[in-house]
Amino acid sequence: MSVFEKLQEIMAIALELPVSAIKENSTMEDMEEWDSLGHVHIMVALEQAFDLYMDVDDFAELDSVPDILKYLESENVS
Amino acid sequence: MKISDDQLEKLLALQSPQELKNLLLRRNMVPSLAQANKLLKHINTLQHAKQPIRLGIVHTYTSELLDPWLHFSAALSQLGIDIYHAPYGVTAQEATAHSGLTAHSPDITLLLLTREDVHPAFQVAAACIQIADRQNIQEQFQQTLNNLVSRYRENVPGHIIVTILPSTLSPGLGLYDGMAVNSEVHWWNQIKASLANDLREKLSGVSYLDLDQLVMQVGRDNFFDLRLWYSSTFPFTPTGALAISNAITTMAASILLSKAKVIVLDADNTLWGGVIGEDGMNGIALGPDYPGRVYVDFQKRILSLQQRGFILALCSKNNPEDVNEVFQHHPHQLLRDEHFVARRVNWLPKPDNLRSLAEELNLGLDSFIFVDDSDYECAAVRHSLQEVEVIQMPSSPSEIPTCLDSLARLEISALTREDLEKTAMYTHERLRKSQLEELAKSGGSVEDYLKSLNMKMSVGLDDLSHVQRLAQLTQKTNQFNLTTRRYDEQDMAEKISNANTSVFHFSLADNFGDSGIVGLAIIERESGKTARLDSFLMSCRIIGRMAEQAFLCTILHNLKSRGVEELSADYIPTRKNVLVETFLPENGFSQTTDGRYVRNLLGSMHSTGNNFPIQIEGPVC
Repeated sequence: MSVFEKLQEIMAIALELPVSAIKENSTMEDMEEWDSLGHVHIMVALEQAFDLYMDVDDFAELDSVPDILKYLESENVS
Repeated sequence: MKISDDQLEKLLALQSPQELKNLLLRRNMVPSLAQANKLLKHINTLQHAKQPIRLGIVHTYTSELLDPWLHFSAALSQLGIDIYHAPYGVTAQEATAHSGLTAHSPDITLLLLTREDVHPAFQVAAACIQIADRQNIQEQFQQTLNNLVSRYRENVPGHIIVTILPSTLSPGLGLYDGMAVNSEVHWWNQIKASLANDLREKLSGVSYLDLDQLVMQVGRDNFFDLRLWYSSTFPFTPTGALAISNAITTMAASILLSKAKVIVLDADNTLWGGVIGEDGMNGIALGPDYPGRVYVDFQKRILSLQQRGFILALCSKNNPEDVNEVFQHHPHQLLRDEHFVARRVNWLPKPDNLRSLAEELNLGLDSFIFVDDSDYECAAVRHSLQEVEVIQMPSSPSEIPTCLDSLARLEISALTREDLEKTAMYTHERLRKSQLEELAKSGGSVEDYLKSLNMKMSVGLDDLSHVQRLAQLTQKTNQFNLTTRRYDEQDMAEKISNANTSVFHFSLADNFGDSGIVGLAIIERESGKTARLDSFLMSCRIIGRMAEQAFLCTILHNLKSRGVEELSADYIPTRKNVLVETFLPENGFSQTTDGRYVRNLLGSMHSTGNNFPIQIEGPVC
């Protein structure tokens, strides 16, 4: 499973959406379900799934799928 | 502890939500959101969708993020859940007849408050609060909380669970706090004790859930996520969120579902390690060493459960002498003869023994929890008695002492005098039975026996001080119950206070002891001259002593003296109350064409004085 596919699955559960609703270019701005609460769910789920400990200031900036993927890459997540 | 993929596969193979819950709690396993989602789906394939409990959450910190955990832990407790969140930070305004909360008609209202919300003194560091000011602050804290909860009690139906968020930070005086004159922790414990006292004594249908206990269970650093707390005002880690969700749903299940009454215990490899018939007194594991100390702790746990009001029975395939030897002479055996209300130590199949225990104790098998180590026995009971809840002892000894901790049906929301004395009452009943047998042998009649007991009945009316016990009776009584209408404490308090409703109760004492309050009748005054018997019930423990007739007769006289000329009544059949099918016609009620029963009070009635082998006293006579 690619990192994007894993992310899709995590976000789908966190936002209670079908996997197909999470696209490579999805952003917080254009997804209604990705509100501030959904955002916390995504961050907590990311930490659990990829064994990360994220800085709270990084949280706010990770507001699109490309940004999250870039962050995961920088953390050497596979 | 995290759950690996392998462990998840094993969990997904389990066939009962209770087993899953047991295992997660015993091993401190916390699923990730994704794993919880998979487990939730799995549980939903195991059981039919149930009528969800309606939970209303009033909160002064973010509560919506609890939702996935609440759904998950509700499923573990075999409940559905329908959650309403009040607007953020709104407390007093939700306690009105027209709020969103009231519209949700919650079964349970959960108040998630912080110390600062209740008293502004906590906005400064607690260590800075002067000792001289503390008493005042404590009283104000208690008063404010009581006022707030009272408003909810008056305006919102259902049960109320009150919580106060513990401090997210360790005590201000650091490691010295435990020693300090102005210790923050010691003072907070005092405040909690006084507020719990207030809620218990002044309000009904309210529980205080002490979150500090959860913090102790998982640890402060595992309970709170300070990143989320500061950035999103959500205080909990997934571990903390699951712990609080489990506590809430377990409490909800214990309040709303049918309660257990009896714990039936196996002996070998349950109360001690090994087999007494083979290993002998010196060979069984029970004492200060491993694994014997595990069983000592398990026995302590069982004794605590007895203090919650559950009665104990023994069911063991053994020679009675071997078991007696341990019970009477083993130096580390804590459970003794007097702790058990009944026992079956024989070689009969366990389902047969359970049936005969149910008969002896006059209790339904669905109020039984059966604890045994053997695959075979557990399967046999599950197979032939599906209404019995079966708990198999864990195979790992260190998990044994806590193996009953996650059972919602062993949680209680009130503790009455009757609960504390229940074992003694069943013991008295056994003595009465042997007296009856003695009398029968010497040719005496049942009447002689009843007279020999010197029974005294005390009948009371509309007594608010017994509201807990009276509500509990309507919740627990299944067999001798004409209408099986269940009322919670709040309903009961309303009925007692309502001028058109009379709530009669009685207690019964005899040579062997006092039963406490064991019977209840609720009368609704309809017009000036007619009344309706809404409920009439009695604990099964005292069946066969003519108490029901004496009680009814006393009530009829009382009603007559207050100008009632006709009393109507219903018998509503259930699976369990066939015992009272003929009670009304046998006691002077005649059936009308619409199936209801009516009794005319104008004609002559027996006096209560000399028709029963019972002396009746109390405010009603």
